[in-house]
Amino acid sequence: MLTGTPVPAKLGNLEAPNVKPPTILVPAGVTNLAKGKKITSSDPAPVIGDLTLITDGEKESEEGYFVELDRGLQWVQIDLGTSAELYAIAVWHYHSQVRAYLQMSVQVSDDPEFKKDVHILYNNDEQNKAGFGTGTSPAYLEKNTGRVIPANKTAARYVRLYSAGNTANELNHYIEVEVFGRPRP
Amino acid sequence: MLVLSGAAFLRFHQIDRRTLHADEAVQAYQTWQLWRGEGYAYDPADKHGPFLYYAAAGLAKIIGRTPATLEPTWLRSVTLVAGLGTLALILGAAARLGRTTALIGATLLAAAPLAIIYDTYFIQEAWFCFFTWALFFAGLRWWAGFQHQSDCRAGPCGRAASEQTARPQGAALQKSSIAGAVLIGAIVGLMQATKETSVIHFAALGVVLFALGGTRPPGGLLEFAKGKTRPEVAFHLKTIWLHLLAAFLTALVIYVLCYSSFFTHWSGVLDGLRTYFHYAARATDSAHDQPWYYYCALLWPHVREGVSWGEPLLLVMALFGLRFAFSTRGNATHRALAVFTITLLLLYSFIPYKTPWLLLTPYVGLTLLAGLGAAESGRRLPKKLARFVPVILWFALLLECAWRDQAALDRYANDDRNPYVYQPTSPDLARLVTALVAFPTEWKIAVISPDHAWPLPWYLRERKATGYFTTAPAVITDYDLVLYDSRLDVPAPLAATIYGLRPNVYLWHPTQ
Repeated sequence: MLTGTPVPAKLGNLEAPNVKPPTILVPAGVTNLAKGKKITSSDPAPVIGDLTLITDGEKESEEGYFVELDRGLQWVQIDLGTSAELYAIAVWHYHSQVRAYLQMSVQVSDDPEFKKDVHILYNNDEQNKAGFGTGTSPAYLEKNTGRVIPANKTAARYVRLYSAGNTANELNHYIEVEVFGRPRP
Repeated sequence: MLVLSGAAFLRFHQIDRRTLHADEAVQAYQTWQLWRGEGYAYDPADKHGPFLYYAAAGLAKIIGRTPATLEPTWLRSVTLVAGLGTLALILGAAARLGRTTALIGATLLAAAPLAIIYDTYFIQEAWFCFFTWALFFAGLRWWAGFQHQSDCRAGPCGRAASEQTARPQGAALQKSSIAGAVLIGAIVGLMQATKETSVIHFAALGVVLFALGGTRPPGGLLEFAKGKTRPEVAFHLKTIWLHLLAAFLTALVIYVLCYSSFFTHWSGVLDGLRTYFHYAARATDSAHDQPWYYYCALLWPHVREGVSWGEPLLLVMALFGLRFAFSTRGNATHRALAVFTITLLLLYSFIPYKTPWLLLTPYVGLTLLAGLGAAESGRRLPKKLARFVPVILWFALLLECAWRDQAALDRYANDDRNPYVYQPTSPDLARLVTALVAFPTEWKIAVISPDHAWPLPWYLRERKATGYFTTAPAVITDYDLVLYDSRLDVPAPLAATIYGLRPNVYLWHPTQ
């Protein structure tokens, strides 16, 4: 029953970070609208990395490719520049370890303050600790292929992603966010 | 007092910051069992000595705590006392070390992240460190006292030699030094009752005796024998043997008391020796093996996934201190400190099994050497400038500590990028514990994990119907909740609730 000091877990089957993720298929004319767009955050001065890493197109997991936000509930927000018809949002958190991010939600709105007309596309906060309602989306283990979240052609200009730590530590991380859509006619 | 108060504040301030480590939970569990009256029997296969459990349970009884109130904060306070004790030892040895050296060294240790963390970790290390340095200083004090009184016996202590008679002086010599020998024996016994690896520290102290015993500077054995007649030397040798016997008997009494679980488990006395066969078998090829430079690398400047670590100024000052210790201006205490610290570091570096907390005892030596280096650094400068140098270096060293503390004790307290922690428990485990508390107490819970998912058993200790398995039990449907460890060959289904346990390890159960 009583055991010794825990042994570091070896991940024999963890996919190597340099394996290229599969191409995401979207309708013709749909592109990644987030590439190079302005990012704001609840943590304006991250200790590691900077917010521009989130839309620079790089999805590696090593140091220099991710931004680390402070503890607790934090968000990053992408301004697409114009209201767009959104088809999918792909997100990469830190994926060099096996972990899931907590109280995670993905929201879109035309209101930059996210006070009205907010559409929640993903919410795994089953205890409603973040206050956005009880989430029914499953938490998932991070992989280098990222997580694609359907946007169901929702129209919005701003995309905001929340999280409150992960299953390994209390901090928040982003490697990349891609927003697939096309400008509204 | 200011140093001790500051140290106590820093330690209490972050005492709850870290999630309970698996090792802490195992020690806490044994203490809880002992306190509940389930007894204690030393296990030579994989456990440390009994001192920590008896000390914690004993203190709990004295202050009126009940087994139900044995929470981590209180348990960590038991080891915090040891950390403050180590600081008190250093300050008490100021006359030997030099006041500035002791003050700088003590404040560095008070603010050092490694010391703050492991002084508030419910494992054996803080007490082991305290007893080790108590033995170091007690040994120096005994030897200095022995020399002084034997010199008085020979004559040069304020009275003419003709006024001194051998017998009364000899009796006084034996009586006063025997108290020191008994104290040393008690410390040795307590060290052995805390951790079996005390033999490593005894070996390092032996190296100190050997290295300094034949040396020319004052304090060496050969120097001691000079100017004394053969009968006097014989008398002193006889006295030394008497003291050794007193120390040995004292150590033996404490050893037997502890390992026999206060005379209730006599096989523990032999088990305390049998354990070395287990240690020999485990010494190599362990999952905790690290390269020889592990401890140096921990303190050397480095970056772990974007986070900077290292204590370069401490290392540089410690080198200065080392150089001074072996110069003609260094005294016997400085040299003993240097030899002891370096020997411990070498021994621990040589042993493949390594964890950050094992650095605690030699780290105390490093802070003292850094204090010595800082205190003596301005010697070559003009006097007007020289007195400011120790203050500036002291301030710089403390700034380095403060910078490290913010990362190590706060932001990355539970992060495996923190080099001072090892296999930290994920703070997310609190979410699982909260969820389990909400379940009915009569629910049968199965935890399937290769290592019982510690610290979870500590949190579930009051539940009657919890089973721990390394593989799935034959009839899983008997259980209301089954928690699986991610290391098992059982993939989590899509509808699974996940909880972090520690880096790369999580627990899951089918979503209810």
